[in-house]
Amino acid sequence: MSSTKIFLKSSDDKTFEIDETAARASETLKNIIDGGCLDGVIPLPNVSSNILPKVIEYCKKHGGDNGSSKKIANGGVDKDKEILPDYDEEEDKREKVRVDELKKWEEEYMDFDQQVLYDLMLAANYLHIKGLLDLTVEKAASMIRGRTPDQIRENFNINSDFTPEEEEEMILIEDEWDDEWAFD
Amino acid sequence: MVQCWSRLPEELLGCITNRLHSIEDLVKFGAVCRSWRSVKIQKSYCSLKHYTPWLMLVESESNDIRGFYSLSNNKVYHLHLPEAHGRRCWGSPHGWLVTIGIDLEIHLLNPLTRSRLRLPSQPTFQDLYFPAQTPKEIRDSFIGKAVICSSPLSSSGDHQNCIVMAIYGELSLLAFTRPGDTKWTTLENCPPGFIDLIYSNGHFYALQSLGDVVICDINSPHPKPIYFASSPEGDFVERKYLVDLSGELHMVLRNFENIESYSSPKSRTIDFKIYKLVSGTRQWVEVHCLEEQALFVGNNSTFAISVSDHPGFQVNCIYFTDDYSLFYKFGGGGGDMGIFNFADHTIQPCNLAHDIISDFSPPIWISPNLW
Repeated sequence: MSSTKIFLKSSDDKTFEIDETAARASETLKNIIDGGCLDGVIPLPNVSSNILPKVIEYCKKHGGDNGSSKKIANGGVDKDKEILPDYDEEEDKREKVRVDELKKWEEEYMDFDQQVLYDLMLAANYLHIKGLLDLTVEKAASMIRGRTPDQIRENFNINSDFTPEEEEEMILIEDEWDDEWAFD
Repeated sequence: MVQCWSRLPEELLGCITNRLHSIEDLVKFGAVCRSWRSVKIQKSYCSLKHYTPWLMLVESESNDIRGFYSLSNNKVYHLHLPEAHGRRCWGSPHGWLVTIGIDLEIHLLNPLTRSRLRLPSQPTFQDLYFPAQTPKEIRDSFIGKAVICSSPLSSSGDHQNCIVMAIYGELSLLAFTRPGDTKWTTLENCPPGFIDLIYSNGHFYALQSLGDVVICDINSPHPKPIYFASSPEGDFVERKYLVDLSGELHMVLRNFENIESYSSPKSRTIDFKIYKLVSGTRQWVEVHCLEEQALFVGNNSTFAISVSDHPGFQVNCIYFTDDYSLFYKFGGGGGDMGIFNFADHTIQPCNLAHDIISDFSPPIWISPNLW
């Protein structure tokens, strides 16, 4: 079953094609589609042609499968329907394979530098793609956890804009905090 | 585009800080650049979070430095904290301690920021039947437990939203106050013998020694306890706690080994049980699993964290400290501390090499916060 094609125009005037089902992964696009403004091309002035294919790749992966993952929670609530036990197991297995595959896909998909991460996070926010926003925010958080301020700045290509006095004050706080060891 | 991350919209920086679950990470986030710092210090993102708990260690007599053990990264942080020196403390998941000293003054204290708010002093409690105690005795035993409903800084304006409820005096009655009040208000017609309390879903609940639970009506002109639920049947144990787990009231029962004499601090806890209050029938049902949570009990508002957010902690475990203050004077409290695993009912004793013994304020759990 082929779905309607939609055309998206990036900030630098390049046009990309996407299936309607995939586009619906974005709340913003979904609202435009449901609003019936589908005559032609949807302009996205906040998303460049560098990042739009990456966004489309995510939507293709996630747009079609909304609600299609059949979860047989707690062995099936509806006992009247005869669900064979081995069918349950098979379904569970398939679900697990699907989740594992998705995780692997996300891992590869998210393998890029901080500049792409920045653009992708903004695009996900602008297009209201919650899953993609969660992924990008989580990746940014993981580049902060357990790191020193210097390491964080390096990870995100940020220069400190504190005055030397403020820097010193913060170093003092860190010294006070930075104490080792405990158990075992 | 150079320096773009420092100009990330505040909303998105807020999303990122929301995923930092240890206060160490949040502080380091704020030391990166000015715009990140301004987001870090916005309390709307932080004040309602429960950051990775720390174990507040005992004081050393010689200085005003207090150690806080972070189990998640196995570090001890030494904070300059003269405000806690010589004071008995109770922990909370909101970043604040309740403290009482031999000056009989009672405070709310944030050990990380050293912010301090005065509460009415001990002599402002009503219905004091046996006032002939020394200040030291009052510090050590007057308050059985003190619980706060939220951080006093979590809302704007005054601190009137922060209510502190305490079990106090020889009769173990209930009284509450707020920062800025002139006295503690005892609940009217309060039966004696309360042993624990908790704030849950907008109300304080308190537990009597025989197991009945009351809900504290503190908004009427005559604040009073109202019977809420009876005790789980057939369980007579020395120590019980109330806790809010995912919005539902639970009771934790802690069983001790019978020890004839208490000449030195030692491990006494042998088992825990947990009951859930079924909301419709108000009957207790035993639960056998904490799922992905870890629970913290002792001289603190009992609270739980989701372990997936806080690496380093074990799921389905109870982290307990020594809160049996009656025995603190027999060689000091703090020895009865460890990790109870619900899966196999084993206890891993605490092997901290730091000094954990105190005769008035042994280690306690606190979830640190900047607000």
